[in-house]
Amino acid sequence: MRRLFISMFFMVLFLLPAIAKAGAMEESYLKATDYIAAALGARPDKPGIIWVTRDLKPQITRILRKKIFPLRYRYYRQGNRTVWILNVVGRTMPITTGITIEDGRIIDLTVLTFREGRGSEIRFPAFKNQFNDMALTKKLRLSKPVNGISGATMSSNAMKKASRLALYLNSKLMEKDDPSKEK
Amino acid sequence: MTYKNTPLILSLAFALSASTALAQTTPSANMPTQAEMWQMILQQQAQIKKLETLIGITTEKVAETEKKVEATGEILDQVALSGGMDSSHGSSGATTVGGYAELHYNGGKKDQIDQHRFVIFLGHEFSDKIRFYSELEVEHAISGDGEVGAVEMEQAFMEFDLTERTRASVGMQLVPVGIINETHEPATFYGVERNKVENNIIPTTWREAGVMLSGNLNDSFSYDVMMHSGLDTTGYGYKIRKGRQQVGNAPWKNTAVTTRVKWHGLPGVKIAASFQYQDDITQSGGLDEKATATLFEINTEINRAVSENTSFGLRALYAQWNVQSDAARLLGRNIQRGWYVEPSYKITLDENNAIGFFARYSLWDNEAGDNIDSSFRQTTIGISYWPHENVILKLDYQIDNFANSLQEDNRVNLGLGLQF
Repeated sequence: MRRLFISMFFMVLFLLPAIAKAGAMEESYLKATDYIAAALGARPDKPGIIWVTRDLKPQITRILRKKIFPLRYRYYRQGNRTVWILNVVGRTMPITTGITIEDGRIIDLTVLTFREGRGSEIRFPAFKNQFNDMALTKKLRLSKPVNGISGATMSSNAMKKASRLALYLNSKLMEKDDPSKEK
Repeated sequence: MTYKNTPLILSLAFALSASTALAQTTPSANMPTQAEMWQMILQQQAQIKKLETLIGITTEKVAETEKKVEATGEILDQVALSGGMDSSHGSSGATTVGGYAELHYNGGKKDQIDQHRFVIFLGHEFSDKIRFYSELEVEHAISGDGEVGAVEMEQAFMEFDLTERTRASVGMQLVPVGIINETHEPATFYGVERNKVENNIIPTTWREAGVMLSGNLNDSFSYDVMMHSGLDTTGYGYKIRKGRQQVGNAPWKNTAVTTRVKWHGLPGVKIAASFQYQDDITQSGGLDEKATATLFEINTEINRAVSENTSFGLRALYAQWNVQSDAARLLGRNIQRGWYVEPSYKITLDENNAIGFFARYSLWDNEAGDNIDSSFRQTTIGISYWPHENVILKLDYQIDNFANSLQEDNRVNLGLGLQF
């Protein structure tokens, strides 16, 4: 039994690079540029930028429950449709997520890169489809409850934070187009 | 640039011709002569060119400033990312740090306070597909000869993404069995102490050195297959929990295989079953005779939203060891089993605060192979309060009903837990 184990151990070690390479060719992760192109129907142009100014900072702090985050967020836009590529930490690693919003509602949420040891189930439709048609309430909460993944609470919470952040940034962007909505 | 000035020059020319015409019709001694007017036009033209040059310089400076702002923003973003946003550190910004801690007070006969655990996570992402995870734990605050605590390595392994749906991990890692063996940060479970069934039967926290292949069969099913070092109950009379070797100079004559299948087709619902085979849990070298052992475990974990602010939870688990050994049979330890059920209800009060209530009934018996009653029954009810999603205060009361009533200790437990 131990010989079998040792044989398998080294076999896995030696084969890992080859398997990984083959796997990458057959089933690679969705790249951010491909996600944006699919969401907007065209290759992404130069992104727009929202700077985290003093008036945005308290709300973003509240959503992410962190005091330090990027100075600005990039977005890609076509009419009322915007695409956001966000990194939000699950347990210890950032999860890269693409979120597409149209008319203030999420029309797609896709996990582009998952780096955590557990909780990869958030990538699958049963979980991510819960975010479809999700909007942001005045209290900056999601408009519908989201059932998490058992055993992966922190990854599930990271997706809630990413979707709230995207919806909030989208609302601020749309406010600029409609000055009557600005405070 | 010349074209831009054309209207101005035309205006001036028109004004000049108009004024010349006016001067011709109404001559005046104060009016400039034609030569003087020409000089004025030349001066104005020179002034216009000077202004145009200044505008060009300003435009270039604005563009240059925009580039500098962009570059500064990039650097500041990198600083923010490496300093906080992603918990990442290190020379490449790909090293992550985290951890958790638990402080417990146990009332009743025990009447003790204990810094039960302090754990540091350290991880590093070498590339998008290769990562390292580790956990270093201090138990019971003090370690050393004769002390109650210990410093232990809980995990240290490499993980390789093979495809989008398959990954392999190599090293010292948690065995894929049970609910809290892999996820046991204090804010993720009810009760001050981890439940006794998983502690005594599985036995949580159980880590071994080995190779694990994990993946998703489809969108609803996932699997783990792990070949790893095994238990050694030599000298402990086949007591499963005592057989953990913690991967420290561990005798390794027999390998164990653990497989798990999980269903997660409905958000907030998970059903998992594990099976383990080990051809000798005495590693063939000890005082006890060879003992082949199998572990079967099945659990469900449900957490479904009832309303916008409330959710219902349920955890249930059954686990059983079968040890093939006459010596184990004589002790009644050829069968060791237990189960528990734990319903809960959580109310989210606001952005940060939440409160949860739970009840748990547990039954376990490490000597279930004979007719002598040696079972442990425990009922626990309690409340948890989260002032932050990663901080928890716990209070519970346990009621023991043991075969040996002298071991009973009905008591209040208090706990403080955190994770970051």
